[in-house]
Parts: sequence; structure tokens; C-alpha cells
Amino acid sequence: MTGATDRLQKIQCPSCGAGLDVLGGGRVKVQICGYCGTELDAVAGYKALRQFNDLKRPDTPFRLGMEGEIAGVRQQIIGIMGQVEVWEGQTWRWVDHLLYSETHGYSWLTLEDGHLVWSRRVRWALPMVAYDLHGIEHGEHRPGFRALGRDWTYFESGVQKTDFVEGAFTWEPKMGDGVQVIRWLTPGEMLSVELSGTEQETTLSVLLDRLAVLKSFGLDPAEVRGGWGQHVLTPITVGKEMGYTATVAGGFLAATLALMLLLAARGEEVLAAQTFPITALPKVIEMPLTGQGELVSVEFASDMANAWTELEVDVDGPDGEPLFETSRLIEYYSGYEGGESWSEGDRRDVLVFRAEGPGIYRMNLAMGETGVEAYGAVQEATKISVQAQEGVAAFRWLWVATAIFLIVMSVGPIRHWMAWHGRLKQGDWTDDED
Amino acid sequence: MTLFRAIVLAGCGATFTGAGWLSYAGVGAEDQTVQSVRQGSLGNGSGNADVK
Repeated sequence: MTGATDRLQKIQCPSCGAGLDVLGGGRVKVQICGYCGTELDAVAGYKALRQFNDLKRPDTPFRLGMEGEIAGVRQQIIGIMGQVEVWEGQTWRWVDHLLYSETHGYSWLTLEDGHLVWSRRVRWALPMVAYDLHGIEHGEHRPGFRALGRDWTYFESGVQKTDFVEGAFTWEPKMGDGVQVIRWLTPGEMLSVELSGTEQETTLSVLLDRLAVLKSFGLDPAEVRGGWGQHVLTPITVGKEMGYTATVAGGFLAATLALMLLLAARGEEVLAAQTFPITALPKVIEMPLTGQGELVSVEFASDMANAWTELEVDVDGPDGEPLFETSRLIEYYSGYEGGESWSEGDRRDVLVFRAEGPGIYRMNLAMGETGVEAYGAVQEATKISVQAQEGVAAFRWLWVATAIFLIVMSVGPIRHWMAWHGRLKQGDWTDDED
Repeated sequence: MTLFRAIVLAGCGATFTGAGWLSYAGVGAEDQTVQSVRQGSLGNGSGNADVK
């Protein structure tokens, strides 16, 4: 407090005689004596206008005339207002300090539970919902709007009253008169809409670095109570790396999908689809395989309805020796029940095995047991279709990777969403959805 | 690059590489009902299941 202090002028309170520093710029209208509560007319020779009695000084370490730096701008405290809000038996108190900068004009430094908030008046064109207290009180869903590139969500509303004033002000403060305030929130910023008669004023608030500001104003942070815990304007750091995480996971997700396409295209047809009557069984089908230890996929299909057919499958290797034996059960049922159609089973089935090496593999197909279930129209299998492919991949692993990448991509946004809604819960909106 | 970013990058890379290799090799895709009738045909450890 050097430079500005040297330039300070002093006046004498006409009521109590106390020496008062003349603070603020040319827009100051009144000065209120901190000793006797007399309001002086700053534009008419500091004559006494009225007196505020029984003022109780709020708990603040800041004093008139103190200077410090906020957002890189030198600011001086020219006025102090104690504020109180009462709702349903609960009382909230905070202290507003009117700041003046020769280059940036007027703003507010608010001390609330040890947190420091900086507020500036803004002249933004807001949608009507921002001022619609009736709509807020009767709305079923938490109101919100988009303005100035941000999504604003309703936080709280209430009536605040001033119970202490001291210093210079650009208007005439009124003690005890309630001012309706609606507060809107976006991450890191609060928009307060004050409704006073026909006037509407809007202020934008951000949380300040408490330690830096206190030190800047020459105060010892250890002697200023509070400031612990999370303020509703505390920046949400959860998920701050979500952009990077989403980019990396999204890149690998795209690569995984591309790899799926590559592997799907890698499969080579070794047995073109062929259909033959079921009466042609037993039947030997040759599959010329070229790969070494590749997976081979054989697809069977039939035309039954409300029936099942068992196929006996024996495969011999290139050396003519049996490689394996298995059976396939193809079954399909459908009907109409309770006003709804239903179906169960599949008219196709797939057999996957690993070939030992290149050569002609012979598949011996034979009929096993068959049966029908009279849920509706019944048709036993009349024909069988077979086709085969080698070099098929196990896509389940890539699907698992896809799921992992999607989870990694969404963890950050989900955590950020939870943190944001945790902030909103500090407001007064009650909604089961929140 | 922070440790967190390195872990995310390495984790995603390992997941992609591992899943890609397992898929390419067809690990676990063989039909479990297939019964090999040839002794000792499981040369690479991923042959047809249930050797008789």
C-alpha cells in the first residue's frame, strides 16, 4: 500500500469528526463513515445524508484502502458490505468488498467461508429464462440456458440483504432491503442475476487463488479462517486429461475396427456354398486348405421349421487319417402366442476347427437324429447348405479391446459429469433426477 | 509426457497389440465340441480339443 496511499485525500466526517480516506474513482456517489455509519454525499461536498445505526462489522481481514493484485490488475478496496441470506431457518453470511482499479473500473472481492471470489458486472443479453423466477419455482426440471458460448445451469436463488456498509460506493446502499438473486452455474463460473424492482443486474464470478490474493493484499493466509473444502466454483480437475485419454483411446478404437476389417477380408473361401437334398446324405465334401495351422470355419444351414436336425461330422486330414468327429444340432422353432410372434434357435450353425497344414481335407456328413415340435407349421429339413472359409480370426478379442477403449474414452466424461452434478447438488434445486 | 499419459498410451497399445495377436492367431475360437481322434495332434498347443 504505497503508491495509492500517497495519493489519498482525506476528509473529516461531519458527524463524528473521524478522518476518512477518499477512495474510488469519479463514479463514487456516497461515502459511509466506518466509525459512526453516516452516509456522506460524495458529489455534494460530503454533506451528511443519513446515518446507519448499530452496524456490526463483519469478520473480514480486508480493510479500506488495501491494495492487491487480482487477475494481473492492481485493485484497491474502497467499500465493504456485509451480506446475509436467510432461507428455511438457515443463515448464510459473506462479505463483499468493492474494488476499484484506475484502468479496469469497479468489481467485487467476496469473502465466503474463507474462499475468495471475484465478481464483475457484465452486460450480457441473456434469454428470458435467466430472469424467470416464477418459471424456476414451478418448473419440473432444472432450468438452464446457453449464453456466451457456455451452458448455464440453475444453481440457487434467494433474497440477500445488506447488514453492514462502510466506505465508498457508486450507488446508495440500502440496509435491510432484500434483493432477489438468481444464480446460474457453469464449470468454474457463476452468473448472478439480481432482480431489484425494474432493474436487473448481472455479475460474473470466478474463484480466486486464495493464498496468492491474500499475500498480494499483504495478509497472512494462516490468520484468515476457512478456505478449506471445495467451493462450488473450484475448478473441476477430475477428468482434466479426458481430452488426451479420449484421443488416444479413440485412435486405438479406430485402429481396432480397421484391423477387424482387415482380418475379415483375410478369410479365404475354400468351399463355395453348395446346397443338396438331405436325402443325399451321407456325403463326402472336399476342402482344399492351403494355410499352416489356420482356423477353418464351416457353416451349415437348413430349411426346417419347428424341427431339429442333427448332423454327424467327421473330418479326415490330408493324410487320410481321421482328424476329429463332432455333431451339429440345427434347430429352429417359431409360433404365435399371447398376441406376439416368437422364434427360437437358428437355421444355421458354424463349426470352427484348426487345420494341421495344407492339403485336401475330407468332411463326411451324415444325418443324425431328427425331430419336430408342433408349435406351429412344421417342416422337417429337406436340404442342407455347406460353405467353408480358412484363415478366419477370433474376433472376440478385438471386441473386448473395443469395449475397453470405449470404457477408457468414457471414464473421464463420466467422472467429470459426476463431479459437476456434485457441485449442482450444493444448490437449492431438488429433483429426483439430480 | 506425464506418467499418466504414458500409462494410458502404453495400456492402449498393449491392449491393441494383444487383442490383435490373439484375434489373428484365432486363439480360443475353436469349437469346444470338436473331438480330435488323432493322438498328439496338438503340436502348437492350440489344436482341437479333447484328445481321445
